Amino acid sequence: MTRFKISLVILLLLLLLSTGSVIAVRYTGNTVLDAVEQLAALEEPDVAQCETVEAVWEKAEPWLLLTVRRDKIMEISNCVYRLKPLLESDCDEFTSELKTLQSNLEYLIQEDGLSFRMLL
Amino acid sequence: MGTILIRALILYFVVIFAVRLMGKRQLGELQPSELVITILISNIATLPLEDPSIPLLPGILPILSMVCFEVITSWFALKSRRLRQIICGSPKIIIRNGQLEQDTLRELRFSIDDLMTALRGNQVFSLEEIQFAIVETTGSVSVYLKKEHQPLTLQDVDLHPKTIDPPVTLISDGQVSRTALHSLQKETSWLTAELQRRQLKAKEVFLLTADQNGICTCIPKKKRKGAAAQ
Repeated sequence: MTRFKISLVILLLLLLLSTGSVIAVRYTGNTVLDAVEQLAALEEPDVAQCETVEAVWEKAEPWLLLTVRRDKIMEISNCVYRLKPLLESDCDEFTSELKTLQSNLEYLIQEDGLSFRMLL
Repeated sequence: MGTILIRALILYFVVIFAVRLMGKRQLGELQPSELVITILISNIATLPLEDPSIPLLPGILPILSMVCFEVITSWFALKSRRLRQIICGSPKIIIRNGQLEQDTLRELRFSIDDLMTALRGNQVFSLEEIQFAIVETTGSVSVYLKKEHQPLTLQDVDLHPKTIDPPVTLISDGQVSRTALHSLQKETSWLTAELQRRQLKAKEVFLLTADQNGICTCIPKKKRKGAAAQ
């Protein structure tokens, strides 16, 4: 009976932890995605907006590191920090980098933010 | 490197905790579900150890959840016979009155070599001696011999000796066990008197056992060569 009770308590804690992590990933992922979409919506993106995306990402990253695979975080991080240099050098790759970042974030939200498509 | 070391330490304690939570069973006596969980735990635990890019929390979560599911399922199986049969299966008779139940053996995919090995493990070398042989849910074979082949017991010769509990360890490597002393319903003064009679102190005793009648077996510690020279 004691083991049964301990198991129930652990399961409850794990459930809370995983729900918390789903909410955290969805919330932080969506915050970064919103900032990226705002940047993409601008006709003439500026460096200040890129710095805003970087700042939002820097806030989100420590939370995501707790539950998301580090290689996925690194991929997104690389995209975020490449935006500003690409924009400054007026490079054509800026738009494609922005799209990659958007799709990476969407994938992150879907995979780690509990999506039924990803369950099966 | 330091990160991996700390992660290994955390995972070590998590796995030990998980196995302790599952309860005491010998490897050969594991139910099918327990065996699967044990194999799964050992596999899952290696993932965050091998790959530092996997955070520790998602690495620990499946280990603990699997064990919790197992404990909860086994608790419900304890309450429900039907569930127990679904999860653990049911024992099958493979030898009845010295005759092989060949259909059951085929159903269990139990070869005659497997059967003979299991019987020899039970000190049985002839099928004729067996009244019943049963394959348990753990896969082990239990054998019930025919009356004429069963070993002679004291009851068979109408002897009824008084049953006494086996001896308990009172001192192990110099450490006195109060619980064992209490189980024998003896006082510390009795133990001190027993030691004094042998001219020993508790810390000088390697092993001291005693039964309900107070009969003690004492093995003193051997003095180390270095210590003896001093």
